Amino acid sequence: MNNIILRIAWLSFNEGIRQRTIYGVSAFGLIMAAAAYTFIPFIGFDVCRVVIDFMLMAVSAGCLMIIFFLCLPGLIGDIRDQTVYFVLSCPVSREEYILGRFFGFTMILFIALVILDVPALLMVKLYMMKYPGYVPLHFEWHKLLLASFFRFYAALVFLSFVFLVWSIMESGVLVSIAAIIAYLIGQNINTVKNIAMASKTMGIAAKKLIVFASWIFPNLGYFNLNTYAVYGVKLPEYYMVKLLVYGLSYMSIAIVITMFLFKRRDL
Amino acid sequence: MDTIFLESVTKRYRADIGRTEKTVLDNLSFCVKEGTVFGFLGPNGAGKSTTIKILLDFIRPDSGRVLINGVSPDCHEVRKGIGYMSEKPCAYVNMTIMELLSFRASVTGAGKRRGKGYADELLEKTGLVEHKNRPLKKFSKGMLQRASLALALVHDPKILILDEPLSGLDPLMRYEVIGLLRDLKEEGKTIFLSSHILNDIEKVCDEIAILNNGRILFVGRIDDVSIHEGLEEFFVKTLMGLQ
Amino acid sequence: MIKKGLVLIIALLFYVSGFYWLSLNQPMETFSTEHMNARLLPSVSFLKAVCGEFAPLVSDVFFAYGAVLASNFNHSTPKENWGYLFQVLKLSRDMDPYFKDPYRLVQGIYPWIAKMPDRAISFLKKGVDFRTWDAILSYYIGFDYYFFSERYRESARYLFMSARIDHNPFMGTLASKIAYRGGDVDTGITFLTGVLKNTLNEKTRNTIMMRINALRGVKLLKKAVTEYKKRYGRMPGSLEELVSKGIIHKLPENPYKTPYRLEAGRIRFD
Repeated sequence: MNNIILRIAWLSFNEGIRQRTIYGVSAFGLIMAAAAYTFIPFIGFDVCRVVIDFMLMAVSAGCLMIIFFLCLPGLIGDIRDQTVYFVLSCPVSREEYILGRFFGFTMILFIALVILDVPALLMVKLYMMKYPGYVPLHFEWHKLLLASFFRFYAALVFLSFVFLVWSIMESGVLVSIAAIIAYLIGQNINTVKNIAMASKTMGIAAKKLIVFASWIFPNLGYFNLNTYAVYGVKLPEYYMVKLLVYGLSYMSIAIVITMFLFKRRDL
Repeated sequence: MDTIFLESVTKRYRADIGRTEKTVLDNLSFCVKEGTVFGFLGPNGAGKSTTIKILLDFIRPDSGRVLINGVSPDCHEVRKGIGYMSEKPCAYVNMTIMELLSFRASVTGAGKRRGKGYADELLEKTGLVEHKNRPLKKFSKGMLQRASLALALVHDPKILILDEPLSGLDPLMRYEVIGLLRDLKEEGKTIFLSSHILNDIEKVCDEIAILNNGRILFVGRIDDVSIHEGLEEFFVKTLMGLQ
Repeated sequence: MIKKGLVLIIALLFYVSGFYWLSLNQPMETFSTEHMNARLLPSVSFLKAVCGEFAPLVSDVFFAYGAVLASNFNHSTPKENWGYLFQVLKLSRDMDPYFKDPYRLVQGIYPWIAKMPDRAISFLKKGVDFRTWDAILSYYIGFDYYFFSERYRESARYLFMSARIDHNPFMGTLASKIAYRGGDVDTGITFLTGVLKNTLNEKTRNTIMMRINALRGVKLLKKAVTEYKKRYGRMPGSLEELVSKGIIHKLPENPYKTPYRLEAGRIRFD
């Protein structure tokens, strides 16, 4: 990879890490673990399933926090506080800047994933030792790790969409709102599409609109492998490969469009 | 050859919610010769910063031609030879000045050429040596200004574009910065600076341009101006249309 | 300094007393019918659309709520409240249909305390589609059909399903017994033949074999009785009549040693 992109990524990573959002996320991971330790035995009999779901959600929520409290304000601040000038007044093209920023955030998200995975795995292990009778029948550790990795991967796909929105809109508030809406849509578009397709009362135009939206927004629901991690429910053939390809192509397209729009934009 | 060359540059901001269309630069033309110190003067909102942003390709003109060393600014390699100091000291505030200097040195390719000693030298010159390992967010306004100047100089550029380099500095520091600018001029660098502190400009500039409402009102050698009357008087008169 | 300290102390006093007073006046959680209007609960599709990947967590929360409610319910709880609880647990189930606990809770209370076995059955049926590896859910359904509703055919169907999931020959035998009680001999035979293939234990094989043979006899006799009815327009008085009228040559041998007999229109071998 281009040396300049790596330098920008490193700068972006360092700047992000020092904002201490990551400490907040680590604290969140620990609080979730403590909550899991205290409350889950009261919830039900199927404790191991609850703890796995709970900790996977902590991973997701942590990644989301990084995006909403670190990446998004970082991007908005680049324009508002003109920090982008610092990088762009160097012999750096705007494309390199975008890629560097994206890879920097990717590194931060990865660190967050590792930090959140530690209490998650410990908690699951603890519960499995404490309640061996409730260990789900087809549970395997690598499945849990894969599921948490795909949560991180979904966060990356979502981040690429945030970049895209940011390159279109000027107002920071609008970008944040659009990002929240996109997240909600992204989580559910697949379910909504299935419901719509099965519906007999819905008009063709509405159906087409939903299908269109499912092509535009990132289908984050696809990356939810909870049932695979907890119950070992079989995934369709090559599902993970398809997910990787889908995510990678979505990110590439989003980032390329972002670069194209950002190149034409007045800063 | 002219180092900086602008020809009938026009920039309008589009109408948006709560904003009417506004022409910020109207048919702007001037050029800066190699090795001169060019003062770009004008009241607030005259279009100084916009012009500088166009020189650095942060924004694009609607029409007109801009060349830096004969190349359009949208080729990013041009900026290898440009040192830019922004009006608002802006950089990643959680980083230390040392890290930012080494970032800039490395992306401009100056890191290998100049070695690490040069950064220390620069910090010495700008009085930031004791603060080199503190994050920028702990800096005062004046310190940020100096940091910004150090960042502009780290890769030893041929052209310096300085947006209000003297604002926010105390008199002593201002004196030192002016000295520094003189040294740079001696080294044969082309300096393009915008300012509204006219007394100091007088001491370093070879040429000035006066800008108001996006239009150039005057371009010329400073000697022609300051011999007859003070720069300040000339500036005010020009703005009021008395010249 | 002293002033500031005084203000702080007074504020603290207010805080402590206020908090204490507040907790005194906290009304006890009541489970009156007005509070439990099932229409006040959100719909599944709405929740799904809002919760996205956090749906399992929401499922947990509804389950916990349901469990608390259920612990306060008893035989005299009004029907509306049971309906409300059912909706709560249904939300928990639908937010994560793989979650086992709601099924267990429903099976624990609805047929027994609420006396609503049909509700339990309809609730559990969704779980069978999702928890395909879990024999217990279809067993619950089979049991409810058998014990509460006395619908033997359905009961047998689900018990077969349960037996098939965890290859449990005992459950298979039980299912075939119930199927037979429901008059469905063919299902019993087919199923037990399947079980036989997967059973290696000689003793168990013999038991199953006996049962299959007995059922085959019943099947043959049933056919004969039908033929008899067609010819004479009435039920035979006894099975021997089938031989004397020439419909079959002889009665099949019952592996359970006692002869087959006709009771209230049904052929029995036990």
